[in-house]
Amino acid sequence: MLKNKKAAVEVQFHWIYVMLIGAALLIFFSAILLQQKKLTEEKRNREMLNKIEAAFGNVQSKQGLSQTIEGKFVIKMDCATNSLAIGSAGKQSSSNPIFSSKNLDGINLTLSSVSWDMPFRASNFLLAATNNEQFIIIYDTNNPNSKALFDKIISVLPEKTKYDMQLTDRGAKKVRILFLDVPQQQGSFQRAEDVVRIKVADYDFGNIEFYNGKTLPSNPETAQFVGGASILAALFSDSKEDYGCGMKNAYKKLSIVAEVYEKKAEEFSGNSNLQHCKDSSGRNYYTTAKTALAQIKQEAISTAPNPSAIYSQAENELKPANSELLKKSCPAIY
Amino acid sequence: MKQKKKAQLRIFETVSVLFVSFILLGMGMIFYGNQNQKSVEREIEKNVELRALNIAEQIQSMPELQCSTSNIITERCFEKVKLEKLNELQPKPDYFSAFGFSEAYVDEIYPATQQWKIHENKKDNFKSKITIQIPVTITDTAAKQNKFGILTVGAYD
Repeated sequence: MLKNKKAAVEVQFHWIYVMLIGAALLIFFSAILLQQKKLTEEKRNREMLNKIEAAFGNVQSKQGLSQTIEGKFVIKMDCATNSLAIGSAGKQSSSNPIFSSKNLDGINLTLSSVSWDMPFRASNFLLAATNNEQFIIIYDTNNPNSKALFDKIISVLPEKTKYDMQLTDRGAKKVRILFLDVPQQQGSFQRAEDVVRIKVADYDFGNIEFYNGKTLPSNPETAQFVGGASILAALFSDSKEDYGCGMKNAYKKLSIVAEVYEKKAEEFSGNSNLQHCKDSSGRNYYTTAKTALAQIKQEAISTAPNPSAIYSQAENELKPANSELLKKSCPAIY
Repeated sequence: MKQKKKAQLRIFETVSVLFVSFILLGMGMIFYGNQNQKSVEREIEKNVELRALNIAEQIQSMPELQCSTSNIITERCFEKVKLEKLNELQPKPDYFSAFGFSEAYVDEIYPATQQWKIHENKKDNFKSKITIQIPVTITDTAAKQNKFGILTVGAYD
């Protein structure tokens, strides 16, 4: 009787032992599988980031270039730290300002570069969007200013950016509408998670009005712009704040480039071989350029740069001086 | 007594099988770990090389260094006066957010020899460092002379 009881306990313990070992093995191999899955995912994210980084490098090195990377993307962009991340993998993005949605979520990522000229190339703006974003440009053919604005915008718009000219709902997650000197409209976008509406009435410099949200707000948020590239930058940004962050980086870059050109103009103005590079009143073109560049730099480093002052110096002082230098076969500033 | 010995033998047999299994499993894991480590090292090296190339490409397209006339850009060319003036800027431009842990120099190698530092942020305990060199033209705009140069980019991980 005792022997039978002992055997029964032994059998039970045998099964408990088998189950414990089985469970331990199951946990062990499951942990390995999970770890492997995590590693593979991280590796895939890193590969994708490398691909994007290479594309950024390629696109930003040439102005007006567009490139589409095929695949499904969920990219988090951080303007403040100038970085981008896929999952837990992150990278520094680029030396040029990037304007895009904060969450680039969709299929096929299109990267484009637009030159920001003051009038020298200060930076190449990088514009990024997925096919989950719909672009709409609204203008009035009967309004000469609106038509002129449209022609100018189209000339700088990256070639791979498809746009509609009516408020048509294509079911995109994000809708971006540019109103060119025409009254803003709400439109009906049932499936859109966000609608970004911006309105401009000038091309060279001025104010950008942001009317964001699925319903049209009565009062816009206003930001300033200088140059057609910055209108596109606002169109690709999620909000006035994101646009402001990107432009802050752009002005920082402008201040560096302007200072290098200012020092170049200063050196050339004192160069004895370049003393013939003067206007009829005897004023050295390099001195004119230096003064204009110093003012552009000063505006760029200020907390609230004045676009009209930058544009005025660039167009009325620097551009003519550079043209005259070229006419006189003198080394150009830019 | 005989039954106890048999049971002891069975326990010993089970323990031996488990021991051998764990040794085989351990060996497998060590082999897999080594292979994984090598693959990770190769991956890191590839990434650092890619980053170095990317930095080189970005430097070549920097308007504060590039050769241009009326915004028409000459590829693989740096303006000498811009290289000099960029080095004189106070405070020095901080390219860390764009180039991270890396270093970049432009050397004039003919006719004279001189060096301009563009970015330097060395990493003390790095796993890998890849250095790439790209031949470039250095233009002396005022003297209308072209010189031979090398752009050197070293990236750390």
